[in-house]
Amino acid sequence: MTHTPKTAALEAYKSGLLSEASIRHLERHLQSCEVCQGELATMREYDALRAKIQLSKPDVDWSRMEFSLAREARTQAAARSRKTPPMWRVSAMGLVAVAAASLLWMNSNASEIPARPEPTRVIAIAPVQAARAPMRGVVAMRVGMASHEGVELSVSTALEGGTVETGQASQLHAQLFESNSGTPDRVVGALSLGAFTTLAIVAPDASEEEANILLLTRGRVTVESFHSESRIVVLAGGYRVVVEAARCTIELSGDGVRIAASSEGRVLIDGEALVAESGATTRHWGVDTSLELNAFTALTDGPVLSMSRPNVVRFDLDGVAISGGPSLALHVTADHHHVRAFDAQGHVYEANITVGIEGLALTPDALEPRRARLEGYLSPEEITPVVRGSQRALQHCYEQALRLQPELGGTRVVARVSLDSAGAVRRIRLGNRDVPASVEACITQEATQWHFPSPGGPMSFELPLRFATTTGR
Amino acid sequence: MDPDRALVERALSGDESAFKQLFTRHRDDASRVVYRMLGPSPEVEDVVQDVFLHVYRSLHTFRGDSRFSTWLYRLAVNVTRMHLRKRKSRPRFADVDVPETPSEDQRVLDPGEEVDQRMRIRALYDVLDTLTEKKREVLVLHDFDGVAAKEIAETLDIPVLTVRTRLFYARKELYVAMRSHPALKSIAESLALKASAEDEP
Repeated sequence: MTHTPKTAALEAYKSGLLSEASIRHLERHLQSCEVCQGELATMREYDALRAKIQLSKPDVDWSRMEFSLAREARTQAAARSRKTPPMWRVSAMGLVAVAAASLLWMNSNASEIPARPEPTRVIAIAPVQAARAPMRGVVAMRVGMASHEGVELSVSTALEGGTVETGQASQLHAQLFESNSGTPDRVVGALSLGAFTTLAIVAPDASEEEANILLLTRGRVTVESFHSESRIVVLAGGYRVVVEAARCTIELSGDGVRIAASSEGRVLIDGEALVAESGATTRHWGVDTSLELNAFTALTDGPVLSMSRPNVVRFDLDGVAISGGPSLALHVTADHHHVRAFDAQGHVYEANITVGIEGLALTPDALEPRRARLEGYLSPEEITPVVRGSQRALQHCYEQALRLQPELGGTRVVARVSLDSAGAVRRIRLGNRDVPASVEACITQEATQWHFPSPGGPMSFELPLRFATTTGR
Repeated sequence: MDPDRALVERALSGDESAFKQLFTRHRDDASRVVYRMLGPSPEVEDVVQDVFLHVYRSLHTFRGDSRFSTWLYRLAVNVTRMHLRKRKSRPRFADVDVPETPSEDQRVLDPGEEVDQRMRIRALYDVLDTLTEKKREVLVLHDFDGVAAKEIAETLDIPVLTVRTRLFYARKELYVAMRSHPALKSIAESLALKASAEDEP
């Protein structure tokens, strides 16, 4: 006969809710019951995983979202203004208009407002050809070499499209059509899949020179300067995948090819019973420099800031991470800026600069090394769940003291917590002298068990703890 | 008065800055609930965006009977729930192992343990997908998002007892499914072995 695990009893046991007699009874049972041992182990594994999930924070690019929301709000406002709205919709339209205005306001510094994208243009609509092929995760495509006024220009593009799912096989193919060459459809790359996979196009039978620029471009390089207009087609069996790009900027610096670009785009899948759309932001990097601008809204005009330092793998401009290096040139606002550069060994360099209208070329020496250990940071949202996990234990500390000193009453304790760069508690000090030593010891003991997400460097914070004397929990 | 309610009223009366404040005050909470319902997925950002689009479209329907944060929370839960339904109706993606190609600095920062943990969390969300929608959402809200049963009952408009019942059976089913999932099974087995070894005199 198969034994059914005592899930409810084990839950209570794990949560410390059983009486001592019940604990003894259950532990005797556990010694001889492999089913319940397995159940308890699974519960503990689940607890560990959900604790990790509670500590995790989604990595959301708010600036991109603000931009997209503003665009959506404008689209909505425009669409509704084309038809006479029913009375009940008037207020909603006003709302959307206000939303659009307010979202634009979010980028309130006029010089930082990204240029309004050109109307979205369909780059390609693929006929359904391939075998059914599921694809999920990041869609990334890389194409390109072209020239502009004798300067060789390399362009790469990635479309990050959330989840794109299709049929049952495992690959997507990107095909490049050359509109004026008459070249037959030719596969220049294949995409693999996986939610965390960065996909690179391999060009098995085509050199870089043979490929063409994928997207519309703005800025100094215009569409006319490319060899030809190209279309990218993604085939996934059973589905039509449309890759659209709305905005893309490419910049050159005086000493060679540098690219600073960003784009709005989307991947649209049209299948048998599925019409799915996934917002996408394109990322661009230079083929040679591995420059990558992640979630960076580049300006299309303004003074050029160029920065260079050997071995640097990532820059950070005013808090915006720009992967790639060791050289970078991009348009910025004429203003004060803070630049940081990180090399592969973890060294950090920084500079506070002022960029005038004529631009600025930052020499390697201008980026001064800063102390290796960065000051860490954790947001309240990262701290709270960890502390909340100990809420009952902390309350228990105080209740113990209350039993000995019923007159103690409620109180507020401010704990000063110091963390090391890995997120472990290095020291904790209570600021309230009225707290009995036993409570302080108990709280300190509990707090030393906390483990926060890595703050990236040592940090301290103050944690107010309030203990109430109400009896209910 | 709920300060958010004042912001909503100001926003509805045309105060542009009020929208910005609502967005910045609540975006972290909204993204957290979406993340916990979906798990680590590139879809999170799109769904969060969708949540705020719904906020903009339906703000005029906010009557102020509940706190704005509660209203937004329900909206986020509903939008994510719709997304999950749509995802379920699509052809199921058969997960395969794909070698990751992180960038140079990611390689330095991503120790194997972290990757392993991430895979297990993904596996846990795969297992969650085997639960019914009703059980899954109660479990996620309670166990991952730390929402009290009473609040879940209000959010989902079901009795508290139902929440507790669903929670119990959701966990029970989850444990069974976890034990048969390859990525989670081995961990649970090693934990069981460790526990029994510790019990040895």
